[in-house]
Amino acid sequence: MSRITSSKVFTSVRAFGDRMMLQIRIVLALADMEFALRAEKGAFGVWGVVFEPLALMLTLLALKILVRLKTTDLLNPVIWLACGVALLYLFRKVGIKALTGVSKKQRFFFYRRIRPLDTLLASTLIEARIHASVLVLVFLAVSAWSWTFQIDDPALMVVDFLLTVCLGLGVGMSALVVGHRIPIVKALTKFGINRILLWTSGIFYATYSLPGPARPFVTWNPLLHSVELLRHSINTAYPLPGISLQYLAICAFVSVGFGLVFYFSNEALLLSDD
Amino acid sequence: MTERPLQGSRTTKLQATRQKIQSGARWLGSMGSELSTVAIPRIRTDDQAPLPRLFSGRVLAATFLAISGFYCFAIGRDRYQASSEFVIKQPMPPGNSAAMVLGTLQSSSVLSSLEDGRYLQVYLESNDVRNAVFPDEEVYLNSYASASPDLWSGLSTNADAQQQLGFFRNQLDVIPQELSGSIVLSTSAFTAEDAYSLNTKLLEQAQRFVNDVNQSISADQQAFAETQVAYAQNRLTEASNALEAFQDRYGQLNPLAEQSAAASFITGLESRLVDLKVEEASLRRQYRDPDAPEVAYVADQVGELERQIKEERQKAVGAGGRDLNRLASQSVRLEGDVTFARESLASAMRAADNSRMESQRQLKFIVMLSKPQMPQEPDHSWRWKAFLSCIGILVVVWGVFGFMLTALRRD
Repeated sequence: MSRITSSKVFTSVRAFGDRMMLQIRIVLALADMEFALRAEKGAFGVWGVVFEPLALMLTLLALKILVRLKTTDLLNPVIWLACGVALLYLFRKVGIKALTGVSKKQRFFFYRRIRPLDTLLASTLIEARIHASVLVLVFLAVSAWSWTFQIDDPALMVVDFLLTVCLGLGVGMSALVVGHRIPIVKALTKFGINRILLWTSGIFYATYSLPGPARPFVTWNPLLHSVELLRHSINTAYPLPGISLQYLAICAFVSVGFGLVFYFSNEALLLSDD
Repeated sequence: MTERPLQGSRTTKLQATRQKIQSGARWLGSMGSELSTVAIPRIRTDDQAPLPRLFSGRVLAATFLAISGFYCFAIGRDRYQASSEFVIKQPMPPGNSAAMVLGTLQSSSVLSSLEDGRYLQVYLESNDVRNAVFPDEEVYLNSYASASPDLWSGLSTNADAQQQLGFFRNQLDVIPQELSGSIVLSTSAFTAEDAYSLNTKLLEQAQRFVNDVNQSISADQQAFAETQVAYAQNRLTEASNALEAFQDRYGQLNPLAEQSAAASFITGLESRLVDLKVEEASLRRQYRDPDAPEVAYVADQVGELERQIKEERQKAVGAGGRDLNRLASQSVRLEGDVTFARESLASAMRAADNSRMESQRQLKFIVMLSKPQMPQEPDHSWRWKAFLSCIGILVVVWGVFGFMLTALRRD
């Protein structure tokens, strides 16, 4: 029976740290690769990757102005809309798009260190950075325009954004397997879940403006909690009826936990198929 | 080329792993140009990039986190928070209500309280309130002065008025609740007593503000109504005086009746004139000589009657006569003025009475929903919030600005 010495512990910890750093660098490299690939595919190059969601946001804003949809006087309407669009599209790009993500990257899985999860992590990282950049750009532009800078609870903003990323990642891990094994889900998602998410995520309305009996029909959606909490973090006077950070956190952690279990129990299938 | 299981000691394994990653990445790069230009530089960074440059970013981030963590959890002073909640009520709010999107209705009392809450929010953060709460600047500066080892927070002893006001605003949060209409007042300070005292004093200021507004509005409305009554009274007096002067000058005559009598007299004369003219015409046909005495007699009567009628008419309406038309119209106008002034006065008095009752009906008052409590222990949430905010800064710097720099470099 060998003795546990401090040098062994140190070596083990260092080895673990090195492996972690290695894995992180792999994910960062994949993220860089995906960024470059997207830039090559798009018409506007590198900036097209960033400005694509921004253009979508501007379209929605124009639509909102066109139909004169009432928002709220507690937040600037552009920031109010940007909060909803950025988080919803972040979730969709990370969580829902994972349904189609494995087959395109099959050739990378030859290398044993690159697993499907790494590609998902890389996509998540790049989407999070894109949408965070869009949010920051919009926020800075509006703040400069209106000459007011207000973030009442920056900590909540950070936690909310990270939980949304976790939620998307957790759903994405499950979707990776489901989309690979049951292709019909892709079609169902395209016509069903995307629309349900669009109309229950609070992009076009504030929860407090809904009648009380109608709220339970939308507050099941953790994305709504995420969007509303982000708005609340900018102005704490923004009311949150039926919205809670705990619900979002539970959903995020459960989805990540379930996604990890589901993914690792089916990882071999992802690699062996096709 | 296939991957092999790792063998040997841990250090050897790591080195072998790195070599394999590089070789694997190069192999993948040979499969597609994209990975060769993107992934390999990232994976090779550990071995080939200059160590100080790679190290400095991490060290800066770690140092920033360590300093912020040390400040937030070790040297940051305790902060105490006191909260109270109240609503501004009106016995009989206005009857209209506002519709929100998708049909939710907010009651008028909620809207009224929200509106007042927003005014109160501005008022409580004003310099007047700061001066009222802290009349002695020395006491204010001492209460919130910086203290070792936390020299970051607190108010500098030589802070100017603007800095003092800014610090004061940071110590209080007035948040009108959109759904309930209530107003949440939170105050923070470095001691429990200061937080409680500040909250209590601000509540007193809020009460005073509501009372002052009520009194001011009532006084303004009452003063306006009384001014209107006084004006109407003056007008009635002037109109009555003018009518009396007119009647004194022309006696208690009735110009209308006199005008009617004169008109009827002239009509009688004109009727007689017509008869005489008929008679004259008849006589002229009977006598060949137009200067016959019978004809001349009647002609003289006609002429005299015409002169008389002209004279009477002149007396009735001419400038040299009594000018009954002018007197009649003047009399009517003066009597109309008096009637109008009397009705105006009655209306003004009714409005004044209504205004007094409306002022009493619209009096607003503060209903306390939750009184401030003396904080029993410091509020630690600020420590986590501040630390998470520092992490947020790092995340934004790395995630957003790093990303933008990468995009710029690739562009």
